[in-house]
Amino acid sequence: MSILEVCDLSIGYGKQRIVRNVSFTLKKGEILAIVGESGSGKSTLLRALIGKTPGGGQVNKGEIIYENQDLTSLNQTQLRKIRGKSIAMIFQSPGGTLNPVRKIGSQFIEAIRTHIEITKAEAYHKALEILTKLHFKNATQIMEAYPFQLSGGMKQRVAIALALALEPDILLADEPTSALDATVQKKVIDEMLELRKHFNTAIIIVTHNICLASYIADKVGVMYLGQFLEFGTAEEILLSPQHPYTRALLDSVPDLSQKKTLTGIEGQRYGFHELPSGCSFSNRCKEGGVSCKDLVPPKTVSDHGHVCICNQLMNHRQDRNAKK
Amino acid sequence: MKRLILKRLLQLGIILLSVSVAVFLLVNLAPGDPAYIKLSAQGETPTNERVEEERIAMGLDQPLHIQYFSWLGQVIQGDFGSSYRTDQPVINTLLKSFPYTLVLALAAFIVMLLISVPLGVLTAVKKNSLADYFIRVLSFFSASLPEFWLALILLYLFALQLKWLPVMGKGELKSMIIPAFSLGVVLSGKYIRQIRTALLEELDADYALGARTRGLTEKTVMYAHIMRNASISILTMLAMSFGALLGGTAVIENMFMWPGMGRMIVEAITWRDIPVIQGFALFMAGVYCLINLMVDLSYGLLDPRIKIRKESGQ
Ligand SMILES: Nc1ncnc2c1ncn2[C@@H]1O[C@H](COP(=O)(O)OP(=O)(O)O)[C@@H](O)[C@H]1O
Ligand SMILES: [Mg+2]
Repeated sequence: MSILEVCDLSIGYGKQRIVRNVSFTLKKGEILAIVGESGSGKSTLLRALIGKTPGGGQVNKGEIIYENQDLTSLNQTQLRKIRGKSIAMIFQSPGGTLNPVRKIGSQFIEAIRTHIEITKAEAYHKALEILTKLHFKNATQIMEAYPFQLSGGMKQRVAIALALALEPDILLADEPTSALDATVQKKVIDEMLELRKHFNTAIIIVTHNICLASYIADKVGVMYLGQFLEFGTAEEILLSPQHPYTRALLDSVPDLSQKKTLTGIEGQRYGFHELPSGCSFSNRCKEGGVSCKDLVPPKTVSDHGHVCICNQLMNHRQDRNAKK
Repeated sequence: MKRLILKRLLQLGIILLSVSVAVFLLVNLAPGDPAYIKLSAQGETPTNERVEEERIAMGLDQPLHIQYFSWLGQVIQGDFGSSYRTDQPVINTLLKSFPYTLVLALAAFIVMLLISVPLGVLTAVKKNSLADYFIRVLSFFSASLPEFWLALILLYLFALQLKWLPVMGKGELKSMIIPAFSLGVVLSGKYIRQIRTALLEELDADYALGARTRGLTEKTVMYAHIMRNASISILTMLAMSFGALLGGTAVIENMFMWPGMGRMIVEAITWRDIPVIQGFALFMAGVYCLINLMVDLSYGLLDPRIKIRKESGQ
């Protein structure tokens, strides 16, 4: 059963439309990764899901259905009851969500008591419980510590634990490992996988690393200039990508066995203010035709829900079939 | 912690030493012969002979650096010399008038706090609301008011018309109300805006966004998170304002015949009472440094990052 359903969501800053017609569903315990270069609107989309779009941002169109209610129609007071309790969020800066001048324990207690009416002592125990469940060895010391006394990876793990204090249904993670060392990254990611096992938390993780996405996620949304150009299971995205942009992303990943280095995708993408009427990836697409710029690409949905927005999809399929 | 205090005390010593050189040179190189000034201040007719005698008595015939070191030696022992005019030890004059200024400055400081902290917070919380706009305009006004003008208005209203308060007094509580308000209100205009800015700077900080995503009310985010973080810079600001207040009461003190340091120094300048001027400058520099030191030390209480580093002796 799906726990979150985003339908045709569009978000803009002023007149500028940033997120455009994004749709997806998320099941209980499912992990969705949103990948794409920076500036493609990933953070904007994620923060809209808890009604906290960055200053000036606004949902223009669409619905975010959670527990039979449309979150876009709720006011801040109603949203506050969902934030942290049902839908939690962590960010890129390790532990940046933690207040630097307050003890970690007090922030746990505060967060818990915001949503459930229990005493401080009870909240303290609940926090300890969570930390222990997530395999923190010295939970009591961590409760007494200030954020700056922990390492970056540890801070991010604590931030995750704090976000999970109330066992939310959904965890939104905005590039949670981008600022961490490679060795620590794995630990944090594994922890996220673990908590999905423990609490059956659904996770939406934003990243610009498509490998990481396919490692952790069940489903992947490939975002480009505010659109999900492709959406499908991690397996399909990784093994049989349909959209040229997805392929370009995969090709740009350094691969040690083939001695390929990171190339990035050639060309400059359109600005949000100069989007063509047709495909927004057309100016960098190696596989597109001349008409792509003006031709509105159709949204192709396969039987099992794989989505691809591309003018050339039919041609590509034929090409590849011919090759086989 | 001990090392920090020692380091700060050493800095304090260096600052005071530089101030002492400046004070010494400034006054001694100013036009006019101190001996002549002293004699006339004491009501003598300064004949050439008397001036010459006095110059030798005061050691003014010595080279400048010798003069400085003998003066400094005395200052270190707490002897700032004697007033030209009253012949009283300067230190006595300073200690007699300082409490009055201190009390007045404290009262003004409290008035300032009571006005600027709540209003500063309010304008930050209700950013861009009508209340914010209104208070900001008002604070702009009050910051640009001359204190004496406000004092005159208050005097007219509360002393002359309503007769609730005395026009002037000899240092008792009731006579302090108008001066303290005049100083405090004008100062609060400036600090409302500074507190607002300090809070707004933190409004979009990561930890504030984090707190919001945990479902905390905007009020809790403001009071338990943002204010806690901003309190360090606000504390510094306010402490500095207290130093400024101590040195900035002269106009009001003279207006209200308040027997504090501001009145003392204006009188001393009028009479060119050099030892008093020197004593005052050094004394105020010392007070400033002490306030600074206290602010530094109190950081540790507010900011665990500093406190814990201090405790672990780093
Ligand atoms: N507060 C804002 N006001 C106006 N434009 C914004 C704001 N935040 C982000 N944007 C614009 O929205 C686009 C997407 O930003 P963002 O959602 O942060 O992308 P990503 O997370 O994928 O890097 C960017 O082009 C950025 O300039
Ligand atoms: Mg981002």
